[in-house]
Amino acid sequence: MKPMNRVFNLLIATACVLTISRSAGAYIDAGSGSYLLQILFAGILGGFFVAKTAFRNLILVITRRIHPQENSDSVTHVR
Amino acid sequence: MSADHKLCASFRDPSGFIFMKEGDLLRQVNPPYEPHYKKLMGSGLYGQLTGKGLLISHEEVDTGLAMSEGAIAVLKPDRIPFISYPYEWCFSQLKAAALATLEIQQSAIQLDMVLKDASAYNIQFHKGRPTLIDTLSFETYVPGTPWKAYKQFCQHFVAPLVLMSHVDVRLSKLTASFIDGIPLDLASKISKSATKFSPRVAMHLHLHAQMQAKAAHSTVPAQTRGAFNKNSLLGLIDSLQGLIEKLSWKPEGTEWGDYYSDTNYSSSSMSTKHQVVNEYLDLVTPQPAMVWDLGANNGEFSSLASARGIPTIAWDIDPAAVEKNYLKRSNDPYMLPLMQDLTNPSPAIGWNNKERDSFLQRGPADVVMALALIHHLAIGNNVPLADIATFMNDVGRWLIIEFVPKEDSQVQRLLSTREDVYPGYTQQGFEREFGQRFELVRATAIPDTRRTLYLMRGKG
Repeated sequence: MKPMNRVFNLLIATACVLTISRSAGAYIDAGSGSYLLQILFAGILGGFFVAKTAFRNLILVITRRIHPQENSDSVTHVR
Repeated sequence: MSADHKLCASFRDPSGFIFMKEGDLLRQVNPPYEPHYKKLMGSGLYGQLTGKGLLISHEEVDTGLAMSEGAIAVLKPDRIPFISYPYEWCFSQLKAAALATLEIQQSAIQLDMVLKDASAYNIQFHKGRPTLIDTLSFETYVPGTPWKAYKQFCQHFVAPLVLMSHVDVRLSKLTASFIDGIPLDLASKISKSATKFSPRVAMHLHLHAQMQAKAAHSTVPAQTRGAFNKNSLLGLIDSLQGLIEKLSWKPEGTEWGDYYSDTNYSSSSMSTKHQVVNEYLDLVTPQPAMVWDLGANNGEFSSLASARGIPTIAWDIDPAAVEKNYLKRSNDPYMLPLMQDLTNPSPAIGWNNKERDSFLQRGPADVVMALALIHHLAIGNNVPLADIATFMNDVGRWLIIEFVPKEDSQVQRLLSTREDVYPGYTQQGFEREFGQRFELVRATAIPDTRRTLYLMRGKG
């Protein structure tokens, strides 16, 4: 087995361990691979999103300080 | 079909279905969907999305109108004048539909709901903008769960848009062959060499396709132990938005993209043509509820109908012409540019050949315009004039048609590379064959050209 394939299979196995295997309950086929891919990238996706939102909010705060008349409602809240 | 019946495209989702009753289009909501429907209506999501035109509005009507027992609600949605399909959309229409889907999903997540499906067929162009027509597409968000419709979104939107943008715009036609979206392994295989350096395409298309192949026999996981939290879900949507927004296609170098700068029309004859088409539209009574412009090019003449507030479908075979029309008139709520090859029109597809209607099943229109089209059908594609007349009579009640004789430079161009085997292609032959199917109401010669514009009324 090629090293890349070994890494890939290990990632899938890890993702499987992280999950509880129950029916997805969707009327469409959610796809095992699609689920696993999302779980594998969960940390990166979430991390990037939090960082991006924080950066945007920082820019908004700075902009508001420079132009105080700007609307303060546009700040995004990370969940 | 006028009798009460369930719509053939509405059978997959147990949450409810669409049906016709006494000429009204209604949606039945079934008991299992009750908590989700209540949350949609009560959370403010429905109001927020309908306010932005992203979700079709509806009114709740008497549950006694339900088609089967036990309905928890019956909805009467706003009527969409014309149903179109992704394989008829140009690049920017599919892109707009994809971004609308993601915006809806983003709004839903903020209010603890998610889209449970992401089919491109759930989006329709209504009043000029992409609108979700399936009110039952939402469900309550379960913390920790990945997006169930991620695969469907990638098959319906990411795959065709990547292929159209990076490989060839005509590959959108693949969506007609794969009703649940283009398989990711196929899209990945076709586009791999063209998308080597795009990390988002690598993740959502290539790696996604590989994961599907590797995990094909794994058990589908439903919930994670917090491994996919709300920020991950929002991050996924943000990443898909970034991917879709970056995809582009520039309409150039195609057959009809610059047609009007390459014709033998002078500005005065063009202006006369505008005037005559307007006069003919005035003569159609009552005012048409739907106009189809066949071979509409960039919609120059279709806009004469849409400017009157008539829903107008501007059909053209050329992706560049449809793209230009869509981008130029995206603010026109009555104009819908769509792709169509009239020599091989959209067939009925899907389960039992009844899920998606054919081109002809969606007619007839009150008025069909066929300007500078007949020579392409009769000479460019060898369709006999009698067959063209029958076709026109099938698709429209009234017809505004331009006859382009053999002496015209555009016809001469067609004949320069083929033998003239069209002895019947004359103005007399045209009037004789169309006279079998239509009553001739008006005929006007266009000055400075050899062309004639006709207004005809179908004989039924």
